[in-house]
Order: sequence, then C-alpha cells, then structure tokens
Amino acid sequence: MTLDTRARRAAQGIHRAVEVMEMTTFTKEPRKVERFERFRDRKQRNRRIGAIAVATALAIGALVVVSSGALDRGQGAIPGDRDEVQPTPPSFEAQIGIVTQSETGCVTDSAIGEGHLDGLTVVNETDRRVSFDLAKFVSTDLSYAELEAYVDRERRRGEAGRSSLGLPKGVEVTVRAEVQPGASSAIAEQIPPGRYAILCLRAFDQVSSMRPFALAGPVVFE
Amino acid sequence: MALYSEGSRSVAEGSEPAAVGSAETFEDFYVREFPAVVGLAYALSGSRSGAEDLAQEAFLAAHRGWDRVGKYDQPGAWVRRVVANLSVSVFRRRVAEGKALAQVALGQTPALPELSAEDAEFWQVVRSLPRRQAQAIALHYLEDLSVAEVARVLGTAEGTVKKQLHDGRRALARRLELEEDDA
Repeated sequence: MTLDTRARRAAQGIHRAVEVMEMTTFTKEPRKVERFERFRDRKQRNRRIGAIAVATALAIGALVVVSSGALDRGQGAIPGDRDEVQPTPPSFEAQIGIVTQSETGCVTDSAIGEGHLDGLTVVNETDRRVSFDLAKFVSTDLSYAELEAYVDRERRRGEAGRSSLGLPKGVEVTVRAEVQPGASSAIAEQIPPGRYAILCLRAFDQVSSMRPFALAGPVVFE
Repeated sequence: MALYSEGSRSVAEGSEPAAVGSAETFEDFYVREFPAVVGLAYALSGSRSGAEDLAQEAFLAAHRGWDRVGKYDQPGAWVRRVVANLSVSVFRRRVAEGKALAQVALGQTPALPELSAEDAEFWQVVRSLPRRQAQAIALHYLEDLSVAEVARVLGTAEGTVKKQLHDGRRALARRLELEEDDA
C-alpha cells in the first residue's frame, strides 16, 4: 500500500467519524448553531465561576493573613482593631486573558475579545526566547486590520532577512514582556486603560533581533 | 525601542488591499464549516472529547471578531489556522485530556466515535511529526488542499509548505513502512 492510499483512507475515517457525530447530535439539537450557543454560554458561565472563585480565594487568603497578624500581636491586641484592617473582597470579576505563542502563530484564549481585560498572561510554547508587546492604539487612523497587515509584512521581511519597516503611526508599545522557552509570564504592571493589540515577536533565522511574527487582539484594558 | 527604531511609517504604504468578503452571517458560516473544522481538530489533537471543544473555541474566536473575520476573503482559512494552532498546543491538549478524563468519570460518551485501529495509528504518527509538518499533512489529506491553499491557511510561504509536506510524507512513509508516492 502506498502512503497516499493509506492517508486518504485515514482521512475518510475522520470524515466518517464527524458524520456520525453530526447525526448523533442532530437528533438532540436539530438547529446546528445551538451547539455553539451552548458552548459559548458554558464558557461565559465558567469564566464567571472562575472569577468568583479567584475573588473568594483572595478574600479568604487576606482574612487568614490578617487573622494571623492579629494573633501574632498577642494579648496587646485591642478588641475592635480588627475592623480597621478588615479586607474588602474584590467587587469585580477579574478577566485575565491568555496569549500563547507557538511555532506556528499566536493564539488567544476566549477571554480576549470579550470587551475588556484586567490582566494578561503570556505563554511561550516555542523552544526559543520570544517577546510580547502591548501596543496601544493612540489614534483612530490605524485599524486593527491594518496593523495585522503590517505584522504580516514584517514577518515576511523577517523571514527573508530584510530590515524592519518600523512601527506604524497610530500605535505605541507600552509594555514588553520577554518570555523564556516553555515559560509563561503574567503582565502584572499597571496597564493604562485603552484599546490594545498584542504583537508577538521572535528572532528569525536571518535576523537576530526580535521582530513581529503574529498579532493577537484587539483587547480593551480598563 | 530598537525593534521599531527604523522610523514609523503609515501601513498604507505598500499595504495589501483589504480583504473583501461576502456578507455571510456567522450562523451560516458556522453550519457550513463546523464539520470540517472538527475533523481537523480530531486529526491533530487525537482527542474524541476535546476535538469538538477545540473547534468551538476557534469559532468562538471567529464569532467575537466576526466584524473583521467575516470580511476576509476566506474566513474558513482563518478559523482553520486557529484550530490547527489550538490542536497542536501542548497546553490545550492537556486541557482536552483533563476534560476527557472528567467525561469518563461522569459516564459521558464523546459524540465522536473511535477511529479504526489502522486510521488511529496513521493520525498518531502524523501527530508525532513536528507541528508544522503535522498541520500541513492534515490539511493536505483531510481537506484535499493544494500547497497554495495549505500555505494560505497556515499563513506561510508555498515553498515552506512544499518542504514540510515533503519531509512529513517521507517521515510518515518510513515510520509506517509504506511506499512513498511520486507526488
């Protein structure tokens, strides 16, 4: 048997499996888009639950720290003092986005694009050092699609060993995070509110400096 | 910053024309493309229970950016690139495996049936290839895409895809002890 024959047969196996899945689920949900709506709703609910769990854990952690501090102060503690240091549980649902740079591109998780983010975690799945630039849109002259086209051109220039075009007008890089191979990093510093795109950067074979490779976003930080 | 020190310029200079797409609704796009995207996720992730989630994640990303993605010439290529990247992501695979275990524990059966042993072995060997080769092979055979089409989906040069397909096919033939066609 040749490779092509085997491969086409294996592809047919996948097609058949998907057809079976389609028939099975169609009996449950005749309107195909229902599956997507259910998935979307479940993701939103899970994110809310996750945010509440994080907020609760933070509040409990703060309470434990405060309580142990009060105990350390021993007999000298004055009743009523505790009220002054009672932590306030976070009153917001923290939205943390994840951007993953792999050998093939930059992928964002579902939190990105939801409307706003409170923080960002960047993940490097490659075997080389990479960077992530938070580029803030400072004017309406530049659209996200135009920035995407710019990154595409920069990537091709990088692959060809050509010089950089330079960052287009309309965006400013506010934060850069460098991440070691296989590691991740949380961008913890204060991110000024605004609309951003995330430029994923890496060194190319013929260019040693970090150059745009892919784009993720747009995201809004509040 | 050194990266951008060569001066700023407008992206309008030499930029490609903006993609113009039909005004297809997201729902129509989803219904048409979902089966093929699940198939790609299944082949590249090997997870019966995770493949549908990976495909849904990709469509969720498309849905959120539909104002932009829907105007592309081929939004289907965009969503395939997303799912191809998600499916080979180590992090996502671990999430999918975790969900699969949870489903087993709850007695739920994945909607996707198991592949025959022969087909499962083939895709397992594909997944053992370097990511780019695996993606190129899966797109080429599953969707019968040409080199140019695979390059468009993966956002890379045709020459690169040609080499990835060549290397991938050679590795597959060797590992599966098959005769390589003269393609």
